[in-house]
Amino acid sequence: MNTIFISTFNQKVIIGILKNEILLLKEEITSNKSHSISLIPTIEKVLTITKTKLNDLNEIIIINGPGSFTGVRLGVTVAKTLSYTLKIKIKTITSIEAIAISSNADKKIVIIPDSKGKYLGIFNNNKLIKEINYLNNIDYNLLIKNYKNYKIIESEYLDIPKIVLYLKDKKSINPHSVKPMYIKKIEVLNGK
Amino acid sequence: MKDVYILGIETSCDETSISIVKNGETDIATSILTQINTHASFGGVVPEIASRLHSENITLVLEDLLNKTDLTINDIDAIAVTYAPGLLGSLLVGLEFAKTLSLVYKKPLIKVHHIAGHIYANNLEKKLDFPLLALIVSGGHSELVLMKKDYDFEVLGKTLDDAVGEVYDKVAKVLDLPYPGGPNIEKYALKGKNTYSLPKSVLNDELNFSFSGLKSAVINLVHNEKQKKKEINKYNLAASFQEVAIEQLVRKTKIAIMKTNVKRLIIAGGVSANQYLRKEMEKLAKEYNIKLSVPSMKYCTDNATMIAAAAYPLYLKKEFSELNINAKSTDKLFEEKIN
Repeated sequence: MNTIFISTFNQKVIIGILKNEILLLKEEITSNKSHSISLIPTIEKVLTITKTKLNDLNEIIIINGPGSFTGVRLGVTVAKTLSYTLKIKIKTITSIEAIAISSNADKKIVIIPDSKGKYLGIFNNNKLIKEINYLNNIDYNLLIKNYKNYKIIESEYLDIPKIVLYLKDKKSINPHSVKPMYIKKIEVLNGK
Repeated sequence: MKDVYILGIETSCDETSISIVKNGETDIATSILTQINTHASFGGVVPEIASRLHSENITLVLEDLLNKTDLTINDIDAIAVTYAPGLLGSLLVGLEFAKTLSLVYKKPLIKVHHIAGHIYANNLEKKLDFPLLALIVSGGHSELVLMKKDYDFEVLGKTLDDAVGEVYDKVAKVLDLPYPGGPNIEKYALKGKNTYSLPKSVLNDELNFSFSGLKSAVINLVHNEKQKKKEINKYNLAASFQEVAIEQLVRKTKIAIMKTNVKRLIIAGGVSANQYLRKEMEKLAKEYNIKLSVPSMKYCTDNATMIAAAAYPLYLKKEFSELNINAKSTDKLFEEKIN
């Protein structure tokens, strides 16, 4: 069972190759510019180093947001195209849930900040207790006052084997229907 | 020589399109998904929405294309994609998609300039015959270019301010015509007459264009009439505007023909769909005994067929790209050597 893990929701491109849920290689590139420069070359690199052929892959795991609109979109586009052309399974997980699974805290608020606010998910024992949301910084500061005993997770750390294991029994989806999760409304749609 | 099949991908604006073209001139199969109805409700293309729809639909468009032909991607010789110019987020979706196909099927990647696509759309009609004069007219371009061979562009003249397609869209906006503005100006003009007196450009600069004076004249006219509470006849104003705008394109093309003595003329870009422009150019071609070539209507708007066609000369020259190339919202197709 060969799995490729792809994350592009923040300024990092992270690609992992796993064999039977064991991580063979993780490559992490921080790009201030476009992920377009590093995404495919990094996939090519991890495949070459681990001597994995594209046709040996059985499964793709893609973090489908929320986060950088363009970053998520590029990762999702590449992942669904790989799944469709190679005819292999694809599974998605949100960035917020992937970060939550990667942390050991029982009660936690996972946050991903951007320039005006934060994407967040509130967890009890790795279970989301409210839908993933986006709040501006003022609303966020009001909200966390109600969750004083919750740990704030802001590292955006991803434990790839844990995430892959978590998704083991989850169903794969049709590659055509893989969509980014943007959460935040774009300005032109406000009021529509 | 062995036939060359190129798969083209175009996502630079609001059309998701994939096509297979043989030897740069035969459209084997093309799939286009337009987002025009979505953007029409906003009065113009919303870049973020365009990017989202490209990403949602691109594998479906590929499936639709493959259903139209017996060919598989394994039969393809190269993957071509528009890398510039256009909406960056939209271009990036097509580019990453193209790179993924290139990686999976081990096919060379060819990056294509969108305007080269519009020029080579003519190859789908009739093989380009050099030397030729190309009038490039779109929302971002108004240029007269001399081509002595494939991918050899000498700019003889260009707009010093707005592109002609841009001015069409702006005038449509002032007249409150629905999106897309340019084609609607043409529709309104058909029902109108040239009754408004609008200024012709009187640039001394022989082969350069200027459209901002005309644009301002229309805007001022509309404002003045509104202040006087007079009603504008949109049909007549559209007709008056179109006549003056196209007259300039024809006049400059005529000078270029006389200066270069070139006997072949092509029109390229979105505005080449304009029937009035086509008619006026046909008259000019007849007068000077010039062979005129225009892309068929279906290749005037954005499509991947023209991208695959434009990639063919690059394929022959083995101008392939690495998988780390980036998209660019603006990029020059040619260096500007203005005489």
